[in-house]
Amino acid sequence: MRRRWRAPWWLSPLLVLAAWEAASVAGWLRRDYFPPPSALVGNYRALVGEEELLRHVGATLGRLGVAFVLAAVPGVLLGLGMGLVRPARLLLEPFVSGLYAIPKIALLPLIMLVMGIGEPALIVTASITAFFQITVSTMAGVLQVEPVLLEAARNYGATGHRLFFRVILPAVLPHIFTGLRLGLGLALILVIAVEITAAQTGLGFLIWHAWQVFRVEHMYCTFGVIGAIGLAITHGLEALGAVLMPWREAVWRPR
Amino acid sequence: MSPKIQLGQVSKAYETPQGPLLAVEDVTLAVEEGEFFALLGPSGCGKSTLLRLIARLLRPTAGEITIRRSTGATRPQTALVFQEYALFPWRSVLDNIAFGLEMRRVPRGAREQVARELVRRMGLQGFEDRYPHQLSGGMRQRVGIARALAQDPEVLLMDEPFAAVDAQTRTVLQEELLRIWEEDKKTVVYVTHSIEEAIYLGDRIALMSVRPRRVKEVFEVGLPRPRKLEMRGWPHFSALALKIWASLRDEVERGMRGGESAP
Repeated sequence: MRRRWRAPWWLSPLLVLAAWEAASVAGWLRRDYFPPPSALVGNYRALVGEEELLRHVGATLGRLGVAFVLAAVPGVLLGLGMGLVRPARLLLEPFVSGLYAIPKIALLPLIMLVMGIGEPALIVTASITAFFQITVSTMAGVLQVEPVLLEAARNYGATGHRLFFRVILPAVLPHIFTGLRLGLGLALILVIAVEITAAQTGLGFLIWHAWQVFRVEHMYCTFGVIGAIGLAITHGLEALGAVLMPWREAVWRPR
Repeated sequence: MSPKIQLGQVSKAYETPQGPLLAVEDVTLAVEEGEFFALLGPSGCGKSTLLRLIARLLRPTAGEITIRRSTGATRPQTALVFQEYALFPWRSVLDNIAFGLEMRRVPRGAREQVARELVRRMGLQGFEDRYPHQLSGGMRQRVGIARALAQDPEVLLMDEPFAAVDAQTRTVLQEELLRIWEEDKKTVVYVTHSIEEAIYLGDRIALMSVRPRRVKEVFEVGLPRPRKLEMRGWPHFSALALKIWASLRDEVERGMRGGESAP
């Protein structure tokens, strides 16, 4: 049997870059807005030298890390609590669903008012979005545990902490991971957004700065770095999930 | 000796927005030690509910269920085999089989020994470290049965265990179940909607009616043990099947006409 041909993952980005290069060189795109990718390569070195790119990458990753932990720990705990304890769910659900829908960047001015202008306000704003995502995914995961699995667990003598740690938690773990992956992606978006709005460091600041001094190439280089970070954390978490949960059927892989 | 399982005027009602729904009404039954007892009925007759009442996953609204313990034993009263397998996806075959022992704090070495013995008995060699999603339906249910037998329960409860597998696999699994059962003649309550399956496997068959949801009639199968596949061609087999069908037919029609069904 002939094997079905599968496009390598790098094919479509390469085609887009090639088309962009051609269009830019041919003059169909304005070079000062859309410089050809080949011209950008040298700019990375300039960006590292002039603007201390690594320092900004460090600032963004630091905010992202703190925001993620601040979101993940209470998010997972609250999600589990709301999933397991019906009164807690009924009480908190309307509140959580209501706030879930608000774009959390809108809260930045209020948070800066309360916490003062500075790092904590930026980080908290970024973490709230991830927190709601992780809470909602975890709670949904608990509610989706198959009732027949719980019947089996009870019939085979699982109660109390053993029911929780050996049945419910492993059953919910894939959903928690989905929540963490989505939450981390959202936190990255929010970190960049608050950096554009109210920071003097970080990749978001760098984009804004590039606009102010009209260094379009720097803008593109920063996009590239942010994209690489996004890819790395998504695939990193996915790989971690595959190690922690070898029982899962392969999901989330393009066919 | 008193019966192994005794159900005395057992009823189970569910609260629904339309008022209480009687899933089981006033069932009185006795299952003897070492008996293979089939519960037969159309969908919605409450047979799965009855099984869950015996498993103590549900509490009866009225009546009493007693399972006589064997003297000196500390084994669990029941172990359930589910139609949907209900294996734990994050556990390997071996760890699924050992689950009940683990919950009862049997030391690792001892429970692994039991699990490996059941792997052998159920023909699961070579699959010990697989996860359930890597197995076919037939193999999954072998694990489900092994998990139940590892408990060495007083009573083995089976809820349409082979309804989700294809017909050929079902025939193979029925033969295997009979072979395993012959080894220690454990008391079994076996829920099915197939007359042939009930006759082929069972010593007695309780036919459940739809309205009221109770035991309508109990049939003695009267075929010799060990059962052989060719007995399905015996005149006694088909005569009994026709006799049961005559009684079941009314219930199926009543079940189709009535919209309500037990959850």
